[in-house]
Amino acid sequence: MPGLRVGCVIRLPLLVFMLLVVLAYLNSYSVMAEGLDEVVGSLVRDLEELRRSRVDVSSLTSSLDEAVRLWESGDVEGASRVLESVRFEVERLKGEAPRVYALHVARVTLTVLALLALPPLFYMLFPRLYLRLWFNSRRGWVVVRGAPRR
Amino acid sequence: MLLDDEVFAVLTAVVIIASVLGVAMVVRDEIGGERFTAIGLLDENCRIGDYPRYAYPNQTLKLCLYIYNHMGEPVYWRVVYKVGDNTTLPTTNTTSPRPAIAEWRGVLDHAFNATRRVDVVVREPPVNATRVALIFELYTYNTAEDRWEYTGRWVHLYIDIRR
Repeated sequence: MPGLRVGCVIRLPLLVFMLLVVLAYLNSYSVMAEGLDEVVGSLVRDLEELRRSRVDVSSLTSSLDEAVRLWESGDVEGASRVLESVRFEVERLKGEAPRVYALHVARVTLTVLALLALPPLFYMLFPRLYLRLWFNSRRGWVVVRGAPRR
Repeated sequence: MLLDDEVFAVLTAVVIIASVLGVAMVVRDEIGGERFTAIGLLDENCRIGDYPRYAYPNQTLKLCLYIYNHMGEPVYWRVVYKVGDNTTLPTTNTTSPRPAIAEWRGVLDHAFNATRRVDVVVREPPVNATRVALIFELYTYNTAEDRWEYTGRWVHLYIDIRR
């Protein structure tokens, strides 16, 4: 039965392909089944956590807003597509969040330390700097005994 | 003395004050300050001023909503539109008892605002009402409890009803 076997070999990938198409279609409408508020709410919760880790989420927020508008205008498929891309980006940023937060803490700590160090540094260095400038600006002066005062 | 002691003391004081102010600004940015949201109603050109003064029942009016988020985090917001009168206005704690006619949603990042053009239908005015209030209530989504919460912020516009 070689003919039957060849038929099965051709049909099986076709069947799998059709199944994948149906799954993709169903996935795009998963938002519809789940409800917009639950989907957007969970993504906003993720964005809140990312923002607490000092990750810039303004572009993701704009995308989410666009998805909500698409949904309201009746374009459920377009909204699902945008929501999926936001979800993907959120997952990617979650991995980067600890590094971003550590950098932010380091930056803030250094800024505060620099600001706190400013007064003692000024107290110690300014008189020396001033003296140096004072002497440099009068480097060419000649001291003459008994010269009249200007 | 090349550098006068008093001048030096004044300069040092200025540097100390600048340092303290700088630290305070950094700390304030970290804390985030007061958290609030805001809603505003604008005319059809999204400006303050040229609001409609009257409408016929079921007439559609063009207006603009302004939403501002200062909650320190992204916010999923919703504005609910109702038609009421001076006895059914919302308060800072309670919403208007009138039924919702339309609603609009959006997502805003901290310190961002949105201006949304909306078409509102003057539907179901109270019986024999000659003057109604177009009420817009602002809600935000509580992501911890998965439910909408009234923010206590609303705007309303009084218009005359012509029949």
